[in-house]
Amino acid sequence: MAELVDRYLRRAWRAALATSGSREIADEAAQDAFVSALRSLDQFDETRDFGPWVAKIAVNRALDALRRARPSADVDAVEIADEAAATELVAALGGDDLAARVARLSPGQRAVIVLRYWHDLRPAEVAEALGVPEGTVHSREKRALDALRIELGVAT
Amino acid sequence: VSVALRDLERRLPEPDKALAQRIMAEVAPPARARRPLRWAGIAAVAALVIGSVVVAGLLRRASERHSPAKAPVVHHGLAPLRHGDEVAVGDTHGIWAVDPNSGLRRLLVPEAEIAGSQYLDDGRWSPDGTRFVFSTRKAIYVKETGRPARRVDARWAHVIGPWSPDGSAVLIDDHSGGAAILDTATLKVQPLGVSASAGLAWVDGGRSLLTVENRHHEPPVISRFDPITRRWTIVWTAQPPIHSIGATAASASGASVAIVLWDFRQWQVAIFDPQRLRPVVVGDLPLGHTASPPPVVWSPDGTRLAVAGGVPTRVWIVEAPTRQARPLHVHGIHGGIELAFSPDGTWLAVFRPPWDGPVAVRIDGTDQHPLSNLVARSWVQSAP
Repeated sequence: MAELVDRYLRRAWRAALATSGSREIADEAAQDAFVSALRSLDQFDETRDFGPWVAKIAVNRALDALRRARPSADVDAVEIADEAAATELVAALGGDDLAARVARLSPGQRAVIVLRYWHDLRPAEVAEALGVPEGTVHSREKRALDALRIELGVAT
Repeated sequence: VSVALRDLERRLPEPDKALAQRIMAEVAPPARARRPLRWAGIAAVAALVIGSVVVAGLLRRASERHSPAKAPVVHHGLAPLRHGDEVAVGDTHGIWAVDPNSGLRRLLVPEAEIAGSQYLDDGRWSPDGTRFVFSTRKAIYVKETGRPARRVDARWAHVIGPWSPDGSAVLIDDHSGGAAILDTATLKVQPLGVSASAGLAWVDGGRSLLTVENRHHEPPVISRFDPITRRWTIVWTAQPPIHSIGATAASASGASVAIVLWDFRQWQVAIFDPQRLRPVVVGDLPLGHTASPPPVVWSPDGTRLAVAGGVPTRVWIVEAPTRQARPLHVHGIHGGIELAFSPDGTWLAVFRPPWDGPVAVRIDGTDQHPLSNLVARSWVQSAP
């Protein structure tokens, strides 16, 4: 178990941090994800990679924490991320323009980006992980990428 | 774009090394020795050693309780508690009550009483200071003077409202948003049968509750609950364009309730008039459409509100009787901030995340200076 934690904690924690923008939430989400995952290791399909599995849980826990912090709003539909979280995240990502634009994505869009591009999950897997239709995953990804392409000056 | 995105991951910071240890401690606690000792001599030596360690530990802890100590380690997620001039903070030993000015501290709740939980939150002292409640990720605890902390199992539950005016109960909710009254004497939980999605407040001097609720595909409502008859009465239903209520803040007496309204365009602050049973919007504050609702706090005497919002972030003081707002200039604020009045209501603590420390601003705008985080946190906990 310790080996699994050593090997996968960093990426799961970073996924939660990028989703939430908060170290506090990332700590809590990653810890909860690993405890849940390690306690149900007997249910884990050993033919699959442990890393994306625990990252999915961590991202979900991070979104749960954001919803808990702001229960009145649909966190997946938020267009402007929380200012304090965005500031913290921009700094964590290196403070450049692209980091700032990623931080300004909604938490739901960041969750899709994290799982698709950092953990190489297929849209269907992301949809299953986040509990949303696959079309929603595609639309969030497209909107996020469009915004980032503009930032990078890449034609769409 | 994908290359740039992948590169971003590598630029993120590393998690705290203690996080892995906490995970392993929770998943696989250290195994206890099970093999029986065979020789009485070994057993005697072991008992002597263990006894010495225990006595040394007790002596050390007793010494810590009565001596000036190093600044306590504050974990992420901790909500310090205030009792008089003290603020409670947690570290690996448990919860300490700290004098924010001198740094003197006393052990309030030993770590053993809270089962090693490191995520303390929502702490609130009772009005008479004899007990306080706080939540962890798995339970709500009630600590009384001279008694071990008592526990109510409630995963992800939070303390969401102030103590009842008679100091007997607090308001809690579970992760799904269900609201309940927790009797802190009996630990009996009385579910209210409603969601407290946008706030709960004691009104009528504690004789009834006001709940502010956002509902799926229906307008938000404000209801009044009579704990004796257990009847709910909807007293106000939002009308378009109001879509949801972002936050609720009640004054200490429960006579005034402020709510933060969202109309798809911007946030607005309103004061709920218990006589006319409707909210009256405060001025025309440019609070914008930030993701988080603007923070709203009452002064201790319930005569004025402090509000922060907009981009760039600004702060206003609102006189409740006239609902007139005036801007309060604060240096160096940006993003979502937290506000708290000083206990005498003449200063406002403004927290400036993520790294700038809090600042104290005189509410008449004549002075401001950096504020110690502990003092600022004690103001948060003394807020209504």
